[in-house]
Amino acid sequence: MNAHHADEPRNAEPSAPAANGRRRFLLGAAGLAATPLLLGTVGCTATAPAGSTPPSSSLDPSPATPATTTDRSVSAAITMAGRRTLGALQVSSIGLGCQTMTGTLYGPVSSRDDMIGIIRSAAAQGVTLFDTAEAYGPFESERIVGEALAPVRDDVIIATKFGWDIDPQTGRQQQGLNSRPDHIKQAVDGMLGRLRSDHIDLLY
Amino acid sequence: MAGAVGELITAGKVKHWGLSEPGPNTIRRAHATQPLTAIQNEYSMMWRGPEEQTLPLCEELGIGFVCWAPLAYGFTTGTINSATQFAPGDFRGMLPRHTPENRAANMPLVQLLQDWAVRKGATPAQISLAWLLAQKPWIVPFPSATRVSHLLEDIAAEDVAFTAEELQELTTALNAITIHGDRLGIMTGTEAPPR
Repeated sequence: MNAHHADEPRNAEPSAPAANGRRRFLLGAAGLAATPLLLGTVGCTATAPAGSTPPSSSLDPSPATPATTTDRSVSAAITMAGRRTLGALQVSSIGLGCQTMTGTLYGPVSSRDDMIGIIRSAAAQGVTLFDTAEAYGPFESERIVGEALAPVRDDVIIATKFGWDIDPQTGRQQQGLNSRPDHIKQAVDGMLGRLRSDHIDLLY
Repeated sequence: MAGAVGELITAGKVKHWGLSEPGPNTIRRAHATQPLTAIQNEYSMMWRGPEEQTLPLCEELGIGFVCWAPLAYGFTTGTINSATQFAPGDFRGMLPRHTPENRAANMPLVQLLQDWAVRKGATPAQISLAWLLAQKPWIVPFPSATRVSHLLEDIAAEDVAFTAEELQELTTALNAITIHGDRLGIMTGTEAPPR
């Protein structure tokens, strides 16, 4: 059994990001050093000045730098084509978690603009599942996701979560949980505003 | 709760719904009221709790499964060891599993990942994600990334495929490794109060 045999056919990806074809990337950091794409994007990590926008923030697919060798390990990259089905919902086989982008979980991040750039890079390269929550920040992770994905809103799946007892106005978090119906509805209205959308694709 | 979400679905504000870290009774009850799209639990090569009850139940009911912390807070990327100093503000320094002693004791897992990374021409993070993808075709990990290089490394994991024999060999080796240190003390297996 191949691990991926049960996936959707990989050539079934209909949206634009994958249209420039699928190239291989396996060696991670070792391979990255040789890729023109990464030479252009690595600068947006911790050393980038606040407010800078990485080249990767463009919504265009990754630069079409054809691999000049048949060695897969140094081919330029990186379009995710695999799709999986959750219930009746189709998503990329790997999603992007956006909890750490507020800089309050794993420590500071390079900049808010860089986080928006990373989300847009992911979308451009075929990731369609983006995970956030009301409690991440609180609110700020949803704001970052909403701003980043507004231009491609209809092409992506945004998952967010309620459950903690968070004041819908102030974001102040109380101890414990709150899943009372009136609180859920208030929380969802707040989420929609921050996500710049009229709907949540997947709500936990 | 399922009823309130159902109203939001009827209103068009919510398209699909799921539960995070629920107990099995809650999954059945919620799914019967408003069909669930996904369960979202911690699942990684370091925390395999969902294999006991949750994954079989998802399979039975046709519910997808989404993994948070699929790289075990970075440990299965192979970039953390007992000498790692977590930056101020990085909560991982407070995780029981990330005490220096437990990090040292858990290095056999990193060694296993590094061995397989060499064997498959991949990185330890990619082996970790590919192992999760290989468990079921309806499992979707979502690693977090705050650097483009990590994002690209993660999404390329979909290109790492195991044969049935390889998957069995890797899982058998994983089964033989004892993980040291408790999981983060969050609620899991939580059941909704009875009506």
